[in-house]
Amino acid sequence: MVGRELAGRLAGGDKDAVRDLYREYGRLVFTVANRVLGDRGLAEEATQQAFFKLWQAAETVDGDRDVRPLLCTITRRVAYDIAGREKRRPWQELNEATAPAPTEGNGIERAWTTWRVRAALDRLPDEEAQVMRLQHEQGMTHTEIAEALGVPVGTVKSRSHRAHTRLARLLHDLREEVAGT
Amino acid sequence: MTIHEELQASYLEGDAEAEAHMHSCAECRERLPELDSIRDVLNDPSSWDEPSTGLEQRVVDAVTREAAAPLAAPISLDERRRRRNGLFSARVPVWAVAAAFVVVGAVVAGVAIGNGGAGGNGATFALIATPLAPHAHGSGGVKVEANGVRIQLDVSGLPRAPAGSYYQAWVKGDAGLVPIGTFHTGDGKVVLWSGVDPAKYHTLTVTLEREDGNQASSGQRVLTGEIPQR
Repeated sequence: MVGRELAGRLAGGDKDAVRDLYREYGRLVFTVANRVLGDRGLAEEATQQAFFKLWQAAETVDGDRDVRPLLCTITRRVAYDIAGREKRRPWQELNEATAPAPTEGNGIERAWTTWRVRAALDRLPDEEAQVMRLQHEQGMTHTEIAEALGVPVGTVKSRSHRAHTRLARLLHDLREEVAGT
Repeated sequence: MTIHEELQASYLEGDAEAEAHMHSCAECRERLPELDSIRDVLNDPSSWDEPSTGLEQRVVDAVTREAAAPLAAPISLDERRRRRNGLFSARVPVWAVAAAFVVVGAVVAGVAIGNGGAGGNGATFALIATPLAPHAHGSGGVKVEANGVRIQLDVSGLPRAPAGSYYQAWVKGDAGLVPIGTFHTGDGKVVLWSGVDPAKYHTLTVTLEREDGNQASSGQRVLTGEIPQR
């Protein structure tokens, strides 16, 4: 498992492991932070800090365990710290990029769910991921997606259904995992 | 694929008929909270944002600088394992652990009395760039002296502050922000002085400020660093 191999390298003090960790999990860390903070700039700051703190804690990392849950937990903590800091800022009104306060339910379960869903989306074939993005991010209907992509509506429908089916299967163990987090 | 799996996928898609089924079918209802949390992520636009391409290098640079910073003797793998397993799992008699706490407590108290409780004395730390100055990097050093806390920044890649503006450094703690000095160039060493205890002010930030008479921070952070506590 990649997460375990990277944990082993990190625990062994291999700083090059950080770049590989970022390539493997950087987008997931960013997504979790972005969901908590609702601000891209702050989410990037949180991502940077999360990897930095992981490196600082390398000597305590168990090289025999998957590093993902630890990285997800660090990310959530860092994001919450930043959210708290932004809320306390006396000059907040001067800052154009004001971060909204985290909404209820931004717990570790939510962070891990976000992580898992984003990771599952990354495993979809490109054409299915494209339909998912247009449907959920842009809020487009199947007809609008068909027009945008220049394909029949039936094709969009089948890609959408395949994508959601695949996603449901990839995440079939989500509840057990979240419960055990 | 079972009919339930078909309908669960349709529910994720937002199909109204599938939704009615999910509430009436015991098997599907059991999976409803899980599917709702997945839908919640899918329908949140922030879930689809991508980090900027320069972020990877900023992450690696920060770690590289930290790794290059002078540290105590390297820690062996055995030592790492021992630390991971915790103090009490090591083969150390309980009396020895208790004695160690007494000694450490006395040393900490002595340090606190000696330097006014300051943390981070002689410590170095990495400065991390923000998206406002993605090419900036550097490190900081903290030293408690008789007249205050000397903080030296060694910065590079930070462009000279534009005319009519300057960089300002701050230390930040639970009590708020304290300004510790201003400068205009981002290449080289900058010495700053703080009159507050670094043990209570854990974060150092550098902001870009305008010469507009406003003493409050602009919030435009270009560098941040965590002052280590010792």
